[in-house]
Amino acid sequence: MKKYEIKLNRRDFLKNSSMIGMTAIAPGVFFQELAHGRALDEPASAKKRWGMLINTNQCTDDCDACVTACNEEHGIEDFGRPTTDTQWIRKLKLTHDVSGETKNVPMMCQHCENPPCVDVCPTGASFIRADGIVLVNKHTCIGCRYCMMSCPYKARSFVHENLENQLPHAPRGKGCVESCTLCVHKIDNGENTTACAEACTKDGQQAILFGDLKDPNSEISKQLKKYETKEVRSDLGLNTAVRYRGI
Amino acid sequence: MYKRISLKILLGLSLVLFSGNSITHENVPHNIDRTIADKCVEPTDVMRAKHHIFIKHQSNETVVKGIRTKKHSLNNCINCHIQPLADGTYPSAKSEEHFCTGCHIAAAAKVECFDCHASKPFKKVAKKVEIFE
Repeated sequence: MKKYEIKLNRRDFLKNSSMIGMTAIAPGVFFQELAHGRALDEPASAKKRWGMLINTNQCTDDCDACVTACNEEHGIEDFGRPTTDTQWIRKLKLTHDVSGETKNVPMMCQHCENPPCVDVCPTGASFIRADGIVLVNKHTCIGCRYCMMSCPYKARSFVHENLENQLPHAPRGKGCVESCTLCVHKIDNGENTTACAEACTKDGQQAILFGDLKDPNSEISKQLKKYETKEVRSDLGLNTAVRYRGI
Repeated sequence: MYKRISLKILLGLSLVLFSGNSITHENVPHNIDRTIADKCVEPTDVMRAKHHIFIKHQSNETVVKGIRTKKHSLNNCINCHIQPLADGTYPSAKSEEHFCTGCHIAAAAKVECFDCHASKPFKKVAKKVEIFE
């Protein structure tokens, strides 16, 4: 009978033991990522790009669940001055010239990959975060409103009024420009959803889908591959993170 | 002669009183919510000297990078330090009874955080005042 001799030198031992270690740790790391998103002390990374897919075929005339939910989530008040009141998300109604067909289009910051608001900002307050969310750093914003003029989607608002009772996760104040943050506080806390998408799923017509555009297994990526979707003003080459179906 | 001495004593006394008052902040209630923590995140002298640096650093980390650690976050300060008054309501950010404002009035330094940031703990407020209705 042949005897099997195990010859284990130092190099092999280290190699094998490190491999065993890796296989033991890897699933833990992976599952943790699935369950909690990223840790509180971990910065946003470019491995993700958050976006939304809005199915205008399902969005109806009489529903404003997304707008109400956004206003409640961020403490946005109505001062009865429609020309200057803040709006982060609004509903547009498009009518086809010839057929008269109408479509409801919820419109908000489109979180462009090449955002014009960032290009024009004189102080660097308007910026794009590593995970593709376009934000205003209100500590740096001087309220010049160049970004509002440059935005093709009219997504940004200037705060004209003195505000009170702001919410801890949504600091807002007079003299700053603001817009949809893609519910960045929820994303950072690992909830990975937005107030409008949640409300649309629960009280609305299931028209808004939120997800990671860079993850090929996310529902949003699957739907983007399956259906024809459009960017609004795709001619500008901004590569928006919010895409629409049925327009 | 006596007049001069008494004036000096008066001046000395008022200086002692004034400086003592502004250093110890006796007029500002700074009890912390014991249900949340036993002590502040940093020693008192460090907080007095550097709280604005901590908060400013944290604000950059949070806004730009998305780091939401709680240790030096303004919300964390507010949750602990802002206690309800005798009638159950929270002090306004403009009143001397507010932990931050009381001290800032004594130090004659304007606090601008609450132009935008919440000045009272949210969860407790929500129990008492219906914000959205």
